[in-house]
Amino acid sequence: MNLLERFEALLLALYQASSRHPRLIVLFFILLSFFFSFFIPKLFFHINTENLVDKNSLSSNRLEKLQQDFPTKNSLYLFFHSPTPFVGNTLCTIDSWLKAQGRHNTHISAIRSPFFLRRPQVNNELLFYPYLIPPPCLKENRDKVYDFSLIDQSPWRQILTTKAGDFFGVEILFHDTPGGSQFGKFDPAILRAFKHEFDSFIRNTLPTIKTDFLGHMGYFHYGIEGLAQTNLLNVALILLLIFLCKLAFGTYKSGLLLTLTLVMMGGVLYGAMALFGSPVDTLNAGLFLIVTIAVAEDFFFLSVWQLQHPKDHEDLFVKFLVPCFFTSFTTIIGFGSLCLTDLTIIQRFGFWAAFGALWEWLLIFFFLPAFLQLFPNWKIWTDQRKARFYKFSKRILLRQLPSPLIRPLIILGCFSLFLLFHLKIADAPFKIFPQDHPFRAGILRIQEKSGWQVSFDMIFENKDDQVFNEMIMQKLANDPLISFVQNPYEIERYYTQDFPPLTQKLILREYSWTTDYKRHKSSQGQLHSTIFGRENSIEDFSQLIAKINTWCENGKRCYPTGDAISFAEIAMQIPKVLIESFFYSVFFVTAILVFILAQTGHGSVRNIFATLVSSLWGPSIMILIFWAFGVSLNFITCTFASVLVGLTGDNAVQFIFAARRKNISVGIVEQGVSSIHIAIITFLASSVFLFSYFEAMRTMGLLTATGIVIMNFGDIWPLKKLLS
Amino acid sequence: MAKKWGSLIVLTFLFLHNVFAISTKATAESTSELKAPAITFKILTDVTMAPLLKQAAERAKRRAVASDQLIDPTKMSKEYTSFRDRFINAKSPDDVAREVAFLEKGYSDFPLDLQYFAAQMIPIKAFRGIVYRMVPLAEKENITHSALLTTVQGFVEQMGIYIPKDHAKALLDYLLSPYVTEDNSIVTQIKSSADLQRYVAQEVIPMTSNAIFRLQEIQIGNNDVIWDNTIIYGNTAFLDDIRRYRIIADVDRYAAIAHLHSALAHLCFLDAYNLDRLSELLKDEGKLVGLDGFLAKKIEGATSLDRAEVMQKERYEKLFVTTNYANTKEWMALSFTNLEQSIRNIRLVWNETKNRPAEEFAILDSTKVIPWEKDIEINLSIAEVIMEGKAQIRSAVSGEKLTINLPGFFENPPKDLKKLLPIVPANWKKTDRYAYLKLPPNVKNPNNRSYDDLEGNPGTNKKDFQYRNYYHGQAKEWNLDAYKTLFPELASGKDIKKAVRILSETWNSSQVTAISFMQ
Repeated sequence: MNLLERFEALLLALYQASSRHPRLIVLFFILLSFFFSFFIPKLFFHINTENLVDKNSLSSNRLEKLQQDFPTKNSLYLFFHSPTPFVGNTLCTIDSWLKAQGRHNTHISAIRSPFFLRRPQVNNELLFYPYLIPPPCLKENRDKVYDFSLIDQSPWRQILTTKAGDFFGVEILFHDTPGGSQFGKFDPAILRAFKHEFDSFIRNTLPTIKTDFLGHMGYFHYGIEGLAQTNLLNVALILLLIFLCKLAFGTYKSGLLLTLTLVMMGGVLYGAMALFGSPVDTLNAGLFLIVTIAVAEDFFFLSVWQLQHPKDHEDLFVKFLVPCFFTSFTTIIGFGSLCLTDLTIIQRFGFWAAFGALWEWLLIFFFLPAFLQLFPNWKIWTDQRKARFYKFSKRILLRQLPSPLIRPLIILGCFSLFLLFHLKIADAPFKIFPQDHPFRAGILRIQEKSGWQVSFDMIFENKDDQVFNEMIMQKLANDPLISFVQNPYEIERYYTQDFPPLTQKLILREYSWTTDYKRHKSSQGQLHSTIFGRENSIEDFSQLIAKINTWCENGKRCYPTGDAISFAEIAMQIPKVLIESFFYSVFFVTAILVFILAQTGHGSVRNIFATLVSSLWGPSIMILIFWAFGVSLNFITCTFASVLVGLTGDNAVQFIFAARRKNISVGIVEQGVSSIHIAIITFLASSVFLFSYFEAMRTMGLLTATGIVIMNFGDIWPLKKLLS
Repeated sequence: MAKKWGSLIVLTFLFLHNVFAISTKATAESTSELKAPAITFKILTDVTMAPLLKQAAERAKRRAVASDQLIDPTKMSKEYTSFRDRFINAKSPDDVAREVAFLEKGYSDFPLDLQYFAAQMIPIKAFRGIVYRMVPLAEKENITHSALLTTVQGFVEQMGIYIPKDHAKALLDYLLSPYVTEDNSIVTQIKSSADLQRYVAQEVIPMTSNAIFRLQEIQIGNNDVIWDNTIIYGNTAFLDDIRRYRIIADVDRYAAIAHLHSALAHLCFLDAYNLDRLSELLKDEGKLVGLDGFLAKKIEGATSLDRAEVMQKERYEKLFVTTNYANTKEWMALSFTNLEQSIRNIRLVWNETKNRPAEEFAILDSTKVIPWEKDIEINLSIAEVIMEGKAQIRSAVSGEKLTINLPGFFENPPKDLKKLLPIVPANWKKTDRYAYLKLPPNVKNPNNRSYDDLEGNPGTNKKDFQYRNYYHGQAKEWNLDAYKTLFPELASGKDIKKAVRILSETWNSSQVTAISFMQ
């Protein structure tokens, strides 16, 4: 008895033991599911970049310090676009509404508006601070057509206004919500109510004005909307799977059984996340979708076999117990390899996906048989007469591809692996939203009008080190990536120019009492400058960050921070994450396949070579597709490769176990139909991703669908060829 | 006739009294040779402040004590508790004196908590028998005598009501009673302003400076320094220990230092100018408001010009005048240094307090000041900038600017502070203290008189139509030269009024410069 056989015996013994106590097993799984589900309401959701960054990392500490030292947190940008230059009346309506919000909405901590900007004026012995642009609500200004040329000549140019006068913005800062919420320190319901009120105001009062809801809080608001939509998508996937199972296996029973296990898996998965304080973030928002796609194959293998052998149902679970353990195990390894990477958010995703995969296997091989024992009418959940894909799958499996085509494809697959090092990384926080999303469209509008798309923060350790600080700001301003640098010293010069020294000091002192000053200079002696970037290109940003680090003597004298910087720092780790997770995944899956091949009597070099090459062919071709079509990697799609490797091994495992003491080709014939079935169902099920709120999830869905097809192709036809 | 004789007797007595007063004042020693002592405490500068501010910011992050049950009295040193027990069992001023001597003698060997207490307690030595010592000076004029006596009696009565403890009475007696000095003589009394200035210069200021130095040397850091309220309320108080203890931190130490610097600033100012005849001036000023003096005088109020006129009498020629300008400058420089150091220490206190979590059991609880954070921050920043040198301030109401140079004023103080008083016009008293109600022809006053009667009927009493002219006696102009160091850019002596208004309309600046006093 070899090692594998001993392990099989162990699993079988476990299975048989559980079979003897079906009530107990069902009760155990149901109680466990209820227990974990109880914690789901306590689940935390993290949307903003600050939550993606590793806690206690330098980046996280800097972000936290920025929020502590400077009043910049919970910032919402509202932009107003008019088809023609604004007139006083319109501006007055907006200004009055904003002031009313500032007075009555207790969640607002401050409002920055171009109408609040002032400039010192000295008249004889008097010093006063009139508004920079005439207050629009004054009677004499009501009919005036506004331009913002005065702001254009000030240090606030390009930020909230343009010279043309058809566009302006305000920044609203919100207090943290006392006690926080499931979504962090701020309760999104407050923002939802504010947006609702804002939209009603614009719709009813100024219908011709277009608005954008941007900034940190805009991102947060839409991110939360996306999460809510993802929950609907989870339900949609379940419904789709029920429908697809009806098509593939001829009954609704099949879909309902799968749904039962998936719902129980989801309950335990999210409950455990809540129990252990692991949040749902923009990456694992689609965790249920991805785990479902990845783990449903065990059920599909069972179902196709039952479809093929309707009278063989008693031994069904025993037959697939060990092969499916290994298919699940390779999937777990695929996800689990992500835990070995350096990014916490990806580790978190990998861990919980692996946990979900393991739990689903347990449900299918321990809960489901017990459940079927209690409800024998459900034991046959397939109906060959009504199944739609069966004949189609069989026909395809019998097809042979011509050698001249298959050989180059195999060779192409082998070499494509090296393209892993040449994939393009392109990510930006706002790119989680689709092109036509209001947030993204708004960002593009701002870029068009003001020339900037993203802002980040520069912190200078010594606010009095003006020469050095201004030198760095000048270097930044000269960088092609940077559109505008808000230089706090320029604001002070703007305020004080042309005045005698004592008056300058007086003005600076009075300026130091303002909130605006506190945005730029902290009581701890640091200086804060906001840098506006033309484009949020991570590649360029990472180069810029490297330059800044050199200029700033590795953070000793200054450093960049903010959402964009933290995001770029995460994105810069993506290639490493991709390569590391891919190779860990390949290594472990390869080791398992070699182990199984050796233990099942298929340990010849040819078998090993053929199995490994075909298994890795799918992921390699996917890398080729990434490269060829310029699909850019982001922190979501970079997890794809390792997931695919995990999935890829699954077919090989099934073929090997089906072909015990026979040629592996026999296993392909026996289980190939299942593989094609799985490919079809998963391909169709992946279409759910295309309706995701998040762009990255849509891409992930597309990649999964494509990947599943290619992977199954690779698992069957190249393997057949290599074995022959 | 009797009335006339009575008046004569009174006038003669007054004459003799004044002659006596003048002759005794003339023989009083001059204080002009009193030199300002050397600085014995550490001076905070921008450079030395920077690390202290950082430390303050770090300390502010510490967690607050959530309950007084978490205060551990066992952390108090044995020496501290032993002293406490002896102190609250003191029965007589001598017992108090013995404990103060103990504190002074053993200071350098004490643990931190007792050192912190001792540093602030030792200066009380300079105040032993202070009430007894002040009696001759206080008794010189009825107005001061009455006011001081009433204050002391009231205080003693209140102590008996609120802290009816033997050790509190012993401490009170320590301040009130005469005592025998080390050379077996009764402690000398303060008989003149010069004596008072000498006492301040030679006893109070050195003690206070030393207290500052000692507090500067103490570093509390994370050590447990606990204040035990039984030191005040005695050993029968706080039997259940609830609200008995308070946590003392470095921020409290800086607050104590700031307070002592502020006191020193005032004391140095006190010694900078001649105060001879100050008590007489107070008496004269008292007469203006209807106090002191034998001759009943019609109440006319004490206008600015009335008060200025009194102070500019020839007999007060030497009052508030420097007789040795070099010494005056030194005293004023020391006063300014202390004022500036006080502000710097307040900055340390404020920066730490405003960022601290609420702490019920701290001496300085941030929740009590945070509501005024903006005001305090602005006030402090103005105080700091005024200390730095020539600065501009601005009326928050009218936007008017004012250039002020407080260091300049202290560097080149006026030789005669009276020059800062308003100019008293020669004929100002001729302007009528009353206005007259010009009634319409058909309206008569309660005495059935019309205004026309006043014109045509010489027998008509003018008083029937008069009411007080409240604008009478207002200061209108000041000596610009005297103010040039303080307000270097004022164009006219009449602008002092405007300067005072701007100061009052500017956050806290009037408190820093104490300019309102100059009116």
